[in-house]
Amino acid sequence: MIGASVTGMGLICSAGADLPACMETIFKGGQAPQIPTRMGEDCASGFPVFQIQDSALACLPAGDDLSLSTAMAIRASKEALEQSGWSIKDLHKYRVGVALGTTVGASLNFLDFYKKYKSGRVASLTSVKKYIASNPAERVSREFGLSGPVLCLTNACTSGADAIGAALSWLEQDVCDLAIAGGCDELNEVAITGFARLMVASTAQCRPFDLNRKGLNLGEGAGVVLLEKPGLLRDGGSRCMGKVLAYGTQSDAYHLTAPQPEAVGLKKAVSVCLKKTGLKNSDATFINAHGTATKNNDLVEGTVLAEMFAGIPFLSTKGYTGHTLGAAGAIEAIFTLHSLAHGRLPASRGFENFDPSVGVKPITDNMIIQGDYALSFSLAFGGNNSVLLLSGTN
Amino acid sequence: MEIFLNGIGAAWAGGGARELEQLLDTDTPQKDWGEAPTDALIAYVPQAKMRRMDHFTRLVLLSAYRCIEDANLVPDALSGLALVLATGHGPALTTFKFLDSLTEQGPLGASPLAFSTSVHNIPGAVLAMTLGTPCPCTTICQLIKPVGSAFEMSICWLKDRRSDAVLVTVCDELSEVMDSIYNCLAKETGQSAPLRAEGAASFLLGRKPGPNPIGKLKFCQAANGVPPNRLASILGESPTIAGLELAAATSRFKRNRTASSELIIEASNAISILALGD
Repeated sequence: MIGASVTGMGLICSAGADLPACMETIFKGGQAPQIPTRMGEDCASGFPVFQIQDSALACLPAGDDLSLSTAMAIRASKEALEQSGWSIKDLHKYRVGVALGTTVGASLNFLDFYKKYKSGRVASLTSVKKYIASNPAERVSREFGLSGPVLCLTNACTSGADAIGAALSWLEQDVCDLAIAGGCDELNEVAITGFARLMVASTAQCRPFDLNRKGLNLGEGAGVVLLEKPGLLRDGGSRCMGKVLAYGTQSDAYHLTAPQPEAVGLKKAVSVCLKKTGLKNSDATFINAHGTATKNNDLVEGTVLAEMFAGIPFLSTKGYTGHTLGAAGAIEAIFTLHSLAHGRLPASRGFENFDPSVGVKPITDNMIIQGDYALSFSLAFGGNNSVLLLSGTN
Repeated sequence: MEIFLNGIGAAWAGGGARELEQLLDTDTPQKDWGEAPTDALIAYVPQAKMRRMDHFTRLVLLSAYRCIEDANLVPDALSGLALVLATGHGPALTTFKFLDSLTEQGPLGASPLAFSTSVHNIPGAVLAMTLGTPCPCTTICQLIKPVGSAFEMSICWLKDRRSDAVLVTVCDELSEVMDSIYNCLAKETGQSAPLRAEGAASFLLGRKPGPNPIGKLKFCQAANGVPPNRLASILGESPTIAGLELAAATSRFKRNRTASSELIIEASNAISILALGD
């Protein structure tokens, strides 16, 4: 068996509380990032972000022991399950795994507790208990009473793509029959301040691949796909919306925070996908680039796009969602699948001026596409490069 | 497909895998073993490369290099390798170091180095860098069965031929903050404060036997329950203590094995059954 069927997709981010709402916002041109409103005094100021809207917050499950990251993951999982047509009761007849990627969602970032602890004051354990009870993969599995494997991947910004790749391996190796896979991450003071201090956050709308780029905007959200062994479609009666065909991943072993400049790792991840499927570079209808709008990222991706995919349309969707960290790879896989299924791509928001050092330019207008395959790139701290090869047909 | 266990390594307060095994074989009472020394890493990694490494990363590297050495391999011979790292809490000390810089210096003075090195996949990336091995590399962070999930992922990667070998390392470190948290949580439920432990354990899995194979991995399944863990009652608790227990049991198996001997481990909070043999 090669590949896994996608029978449901769920999404929440600043562009909307579900997949249709997000796509509507995006094809209308998107919204500008805003100065965050939920952060405390410990947050670096002056850096706009793509924060989920209050109306979307109101849609989320609530609880003192539930983090925002995991609440978004549960919400997106429910949307994916509803779309697939599976009832929870029927799912319980199968081995259903949960693989989710995150960064903030599994970090010891309970700042309010920590400040009181350090000052010798009595600190409430509420945020600590929330951290312990809210590991995204563990919590989603418990939420739906599932019995399959559980995996929480923390590979920084490739986590969401890696989780989908891990679920694909599970299905291909018969570890489980179905898998909820994706990623989730919320904005917090630690992430915003950390990226600001690394001097890679922009004080304006991010401009992926643009000559005048000034860095990234952070965002938050969750993206989840329901993956099935293709044979299960007959039993479940669910509708196949596309396939995850292959996953390639490679660590550069080069630098803690910068990608290898000749893109050796990213090229390797791409080649793993192509080799597995027997497809050629020219079979790609488009590329969903990682496109963070940091200089290092854009130069490396530009190298791969120019050398391996010359003439093939590409875009970055970070201009609509911001960089959602551990959720990004999953959210962008969903955008890719949606675009293949609906035959149209949104413009790469934020791009205006060609950068000769990057050597390629993303699409600047919404466009009609026709084709079966696309690639989604994810790059991360630690030199991680992960690629998903996706199909819009069964 | 056959999967071989080709090497083991560990780094904890008392030494390596052999010393862990001795813990299992004696009636050692529980005590506070404290922080694991990592000075021995100098035998494997140049001092200049160790300069900015945090304690968690040093533990990971020391355990991993001991595992490679146990397999009678040198890093240059590790072709087709992948790295899988599993942890319960990640690099806690570095995370709290960043929070210290943030709360003490404010957002404008927060340490970018502490932020970047607190990212959970950095220790695995540093291992790939020091080994000089660009390769698939993934990090798992969860409190329930992190060790079993790491083995499950590694076996999938071997079976789908993503790599020829996987170096699995599990690690958690002590921190005053986490000790305090677990003490408070225990107090809330009327339990005595648990003794905490730190350490790393590594396992080199391969699709082919290495120069010094320990045995074939016959069956591995991540458990759903949380059975009692013997080593935790001696060494202390940690989300990845099952990895240390597995290293201890494997070390004993390796020394005492006969042609037909088989190791079956059931008493761990992460590995339900792991059988080794011919």
